[in-house]
Amino acid sequence: MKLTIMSILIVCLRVVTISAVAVAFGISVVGDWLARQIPFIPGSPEYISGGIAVLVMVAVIGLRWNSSSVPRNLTLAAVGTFFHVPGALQGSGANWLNVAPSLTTDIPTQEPVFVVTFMVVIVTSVLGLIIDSAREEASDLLRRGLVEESVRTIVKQAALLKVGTLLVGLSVISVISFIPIGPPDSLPPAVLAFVGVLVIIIPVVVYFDTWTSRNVSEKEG
Amino acid sequence: MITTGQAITVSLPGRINQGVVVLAASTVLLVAAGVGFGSFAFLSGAVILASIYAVANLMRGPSGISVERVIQKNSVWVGDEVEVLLKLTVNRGIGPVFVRCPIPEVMELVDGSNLFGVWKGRGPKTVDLKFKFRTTVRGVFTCDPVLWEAHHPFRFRTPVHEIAGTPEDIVVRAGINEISRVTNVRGLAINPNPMMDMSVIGNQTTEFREIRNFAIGDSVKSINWKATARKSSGRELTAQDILVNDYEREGKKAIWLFLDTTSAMSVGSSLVNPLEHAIEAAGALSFYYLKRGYQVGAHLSNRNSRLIHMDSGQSQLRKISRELSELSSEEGSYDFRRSVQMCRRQILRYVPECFVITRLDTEEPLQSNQIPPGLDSLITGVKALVAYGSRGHKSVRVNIVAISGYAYTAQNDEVNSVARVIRGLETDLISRAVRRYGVNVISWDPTSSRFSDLLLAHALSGRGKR
Repeated sequence: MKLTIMSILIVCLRVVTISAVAVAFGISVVGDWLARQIPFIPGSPEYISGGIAVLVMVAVIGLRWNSSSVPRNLTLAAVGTFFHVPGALQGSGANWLNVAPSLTTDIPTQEPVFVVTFMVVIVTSVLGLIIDSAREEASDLLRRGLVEESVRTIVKQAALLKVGTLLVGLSVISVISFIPIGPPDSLPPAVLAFVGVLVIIIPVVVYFDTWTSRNVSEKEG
Repeated sequence: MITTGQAITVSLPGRINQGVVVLAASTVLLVAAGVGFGSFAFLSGAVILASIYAVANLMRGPSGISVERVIQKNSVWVGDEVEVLLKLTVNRGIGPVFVRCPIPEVMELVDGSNLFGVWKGRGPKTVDLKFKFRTTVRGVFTCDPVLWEAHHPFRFRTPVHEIAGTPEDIVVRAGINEISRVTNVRGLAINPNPMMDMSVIGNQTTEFREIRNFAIGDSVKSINWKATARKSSGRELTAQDILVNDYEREGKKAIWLFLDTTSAMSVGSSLVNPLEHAIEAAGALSFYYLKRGYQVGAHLSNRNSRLIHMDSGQSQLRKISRELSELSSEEGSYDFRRSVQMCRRQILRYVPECFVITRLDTEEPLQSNQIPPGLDSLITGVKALVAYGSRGHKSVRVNIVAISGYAYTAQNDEVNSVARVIRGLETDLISRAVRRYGVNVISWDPTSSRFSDLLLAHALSGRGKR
């Protein structure tokens, strides 16, 4: 029964991921251009490009069906990211760096849509990873002879902890959204500064914090 | 009670695992893409992943772990259940801790599992983990030390694992089936050792036997005051605390056991084979006769070191049980003649009733009423035993407990069933031939009857015939 619920949850997450990717690619300029190159399919270009994205994502899911949890969800996230690249190119950075002026659109409201869809892809991929790894861990522990009650407790607590960490990440994003942004059509400098601190400094500090003990355990090994 | 414990206080974070590399790489790639494309979307994704990375890295796996193992009994009988208690303490960190308490392979888990998983939350945690196993076979077994493994909650680091405590031995003694006495069947005794002819009514000798509880009728002179004082120290003296010295009685009878431990006794599985049942029979006979004040000695196969000198009392039972527990099969064939020669002095001195526990179905009979050449040694030994006894007034009576080796073949196979029947008939011929030498042959199929039931049936049928 529990496995069925988890399977339904995973399917729902996959549907949400595919939908977000389809929306992002469908409204992008590249997606629009690609749809116009296929005249034999009637319909709106957004739907055609979105449909292409859906087909590719379904194919990726099918190819990675029997993989372990990390490569399965990583591939899904990577392909989803790839379909967001056109949207990224026509965002504020396009104006800021002026690297691809031809992709600049007259509709500035599209960038928040790309932000939302990409965050949906990231969050659903991470949630999928949490659920898949929990299922793998549960079956592994049961196979090793652990009592079912202990397995349930361990897997549940670990999953809750991981979901809690994901919520921390989302709350950080929501805090950032309150920081005043810079001039219109430009990257917010506060965001860049925060990301610089968070992404670069903290991992470096954490890495060197465990440097000594890692070397000790490697030598002991 | 055995108690071992070892506190691991040093925090060992272990090496960073593959998962963290994937997360870090994804974060860096998204940052690069976000800055390169000038995309707020990618940067937002990078922030989420970086937050997860940072929080997960700042968490520490469980550390400050100690495990104490308590085994309630280190000396048990076959079939007993042994309870093992593990006291696990985790002082720091968050994440799952797995504890494995190895047990010997031949033991059977009956309650719980010897593998435990405990989730360590924020505060220090102490938990008692219990399981039970049943001893299936006699011997001295070693329980390896307890292993524990602490995992990072995100599996970002390789698990830290340690061994706690030292190996511990568990002595499993062969089970003893209590033999019932036949009391209400009238008839001529076929056993030369009636139960009521000695021990209880005989005069006491000066040979010390054991210390036992006081019983009505015991002389005050026989009270062992020192032992009584030790037993009742620190509390009020009661009748149950009084201990008396018991001495051997005159006219005490003696029993001698010969046990075949050669490879012919090892057919079947490691748990169920003729040797295990021979040990069961030897234990049952020892218990029965020692309980009634007999002197019991034994010779276990053809090894000098396995000769147990004649003695009586509980200490002798313990000695025999210990020897039986450590018994294993040996290569070669059973040389009963040599065994008799080695025990010659004991036989001549005590003139005991002898029990030979072996197999008679290892050889095929050549002709009816003829002993196969492979059993020559057995017959020569029997003749020697009878000859030793005839020198005095008493005679040595020889009983052969013939364990059916073919009973250990698969029961549900028709071919095996036929072979078993044929082999049984052949063995009956051999038994009949052996009986000609005055030997009482007790044929035993351990898979169909218990030894005590067999003796009872044998005694009843014997009396009925007379």
